[in-house]
Amino acid sequence: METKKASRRRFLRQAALVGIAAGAAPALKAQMEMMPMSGSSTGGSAAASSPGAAAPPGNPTDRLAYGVRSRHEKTIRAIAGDSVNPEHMHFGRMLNVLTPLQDIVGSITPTPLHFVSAHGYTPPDIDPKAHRLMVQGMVDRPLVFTLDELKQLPSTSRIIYLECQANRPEYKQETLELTFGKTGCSQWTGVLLSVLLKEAGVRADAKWIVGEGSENGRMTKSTPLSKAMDDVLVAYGMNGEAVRPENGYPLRLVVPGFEAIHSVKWLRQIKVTDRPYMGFQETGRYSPRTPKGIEFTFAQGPKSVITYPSGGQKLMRHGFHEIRGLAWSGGGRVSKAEVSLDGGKTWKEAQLQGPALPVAHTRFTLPWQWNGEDVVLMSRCTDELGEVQPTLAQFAKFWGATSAEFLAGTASGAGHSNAIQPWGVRKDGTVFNAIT
Amino acid sequence: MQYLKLLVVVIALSAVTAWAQGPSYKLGKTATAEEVKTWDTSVGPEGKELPAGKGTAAEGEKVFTARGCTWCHGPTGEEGPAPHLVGGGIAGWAFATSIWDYINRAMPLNHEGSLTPNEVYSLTAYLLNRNKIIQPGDVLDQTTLPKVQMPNRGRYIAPPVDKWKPGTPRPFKIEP
Ligand code: HEC
Repeated sequence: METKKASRRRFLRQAALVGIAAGAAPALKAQMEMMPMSGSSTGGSAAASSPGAAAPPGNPTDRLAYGVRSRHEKTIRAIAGDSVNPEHMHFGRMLNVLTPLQDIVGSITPTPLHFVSAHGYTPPDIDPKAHRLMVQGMVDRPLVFTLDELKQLPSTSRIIYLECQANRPEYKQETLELTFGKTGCSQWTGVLLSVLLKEAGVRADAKWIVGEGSENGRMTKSTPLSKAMDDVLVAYGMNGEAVRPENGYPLRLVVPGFEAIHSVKWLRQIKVTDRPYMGFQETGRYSPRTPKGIEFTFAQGPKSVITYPSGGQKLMRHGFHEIRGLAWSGGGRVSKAEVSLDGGKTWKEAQLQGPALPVAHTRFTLPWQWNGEDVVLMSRCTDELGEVQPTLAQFAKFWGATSAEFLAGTASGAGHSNAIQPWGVRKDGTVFNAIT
Repeated sequence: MQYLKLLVVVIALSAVTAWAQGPSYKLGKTATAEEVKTWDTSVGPEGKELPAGKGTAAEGEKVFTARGCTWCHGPTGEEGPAPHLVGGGIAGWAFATSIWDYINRAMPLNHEGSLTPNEVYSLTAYLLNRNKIIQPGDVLDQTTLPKVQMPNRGRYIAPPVDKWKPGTPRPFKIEP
């Protein structure tokens, strides 16, 4: 998205601006002045007296008014390959960025590190006071809601992952973020779409809803009404604050477990229909060619990946290492995560961390002793519906092709890929993408 | 007596249904038909929402240059760098109305929403004719466009939405 330099420049610029505006928060400022600040204080706090503990740059009022991470933390989102490929249709437009999964230590994706795929569209600069959501089509009463009204309706919070259909292990890339970075898990808060649909009164013969965004291309995507009535959210909150512009501010649809393209950003309309509208994102794109014909994909299958050790990393010593990873499924809860230390011949059950929430990233760990041998590590997820994550060979066979064709990029038209990701560890500790 | 009990239950049940399907929070404003019409830009497979207007392939060829489609799709739409519009993707779409809808809402890129209905009909006719789906002389309008037979339509499988409910295994379950 932006380089470290640019983001630092921006940060400094903002810090300077807020320095001028700091008078606008007198109470906080007064409080700040009474606090001994590290580096500037003569007090005896350990942090202040430890070597190199100078005050971080920027205005301290600003840093406390809206938190800033330690200047020593450098993790940023990587730019997706398609954004910088001159052959790609989104080349030269708004960049797509990826979640740096290898650096994320929990199951929630920090909002500033959540992947963004905006299909080349710049996030619209929407005034929340002027924004409206219309619910219309096959309903008794078409309704228009302000954001304020939506916030007054009964609210629901759910921790849900969103993953792009294009998050595909078979687009062989060296690192975890480049291979798997189009997934993120957040707590989404909003009003259930079913509440709005009931307010409008859905007609008996309705079967679909079509969500529409406010960006320049006004993307549309059809979702079955049965799903819409079940657990689809019209979200204004993401991890406890307003959804960020690139994630759909001020309103985004969140369709749990379905390819993230269903979760329409910058939501302006829900149209209730009796059929899918076969818009660009369901006929020109995202319409997998199965052996039977061209079908719609609903829920995503069980998936997992080892985040440590992963491609591009290096094991620095022999001995204990904790294998860590994430597992998730559009089909519900993760019931089991397994790890193979021998390229898929045998599997060990890993420990699931915390409550395994339905349709959410779930952490798993497995203690491991590495004695410097060549090894291929893999993980495999089983979900509560009993579906098991396939190998690339099994996935390819289902879609009528071979692994080699997928890896060469000559097989197309497959649905969302949940193939097992192998990471190879060499004797020198370097970790590489071992997918075949 | 039994009968009466049943009646009470029936009344109670219908009250629940009415609540479930009626305005209960008194938030949100009812939109007028006119407001819906101006707000809604989507055109479905039946073409019910298509505006008045018409166009032919010959007109579309001129619009294609005049409106700068050539800038990204190439002089004849086959050169790129943006997706090839002949012999490529759109010929495989299920409905001609979707092509109209997409050009209308999303093209030309960076000047979305600037085309008139006649221009969109003409561009759709030009591209369908270039893909050998309609004849050079065909006029596309509100009634003829939804009738265009797209060659791939039969390959699209109607999704089993009636059968789908939460917890239904995916149609794409891969048996290891
Ligand atoms: C500034 C560049 C640009 C201009 C100008 C432009 N297009 Fe496009 N067009 C694109 C890009 C990029 C895509 C692919 C968008 C995507 O995949 O998200 C596209 C996609 C399309 C598609 C869908 C193609 C497919 O196979 O999916 C059609 C149809 C289309 N454009 C028609 C037109 C027409 C008609 C015009 C002129 C009114 C036009 N375009 C002007 C860049 C442009």
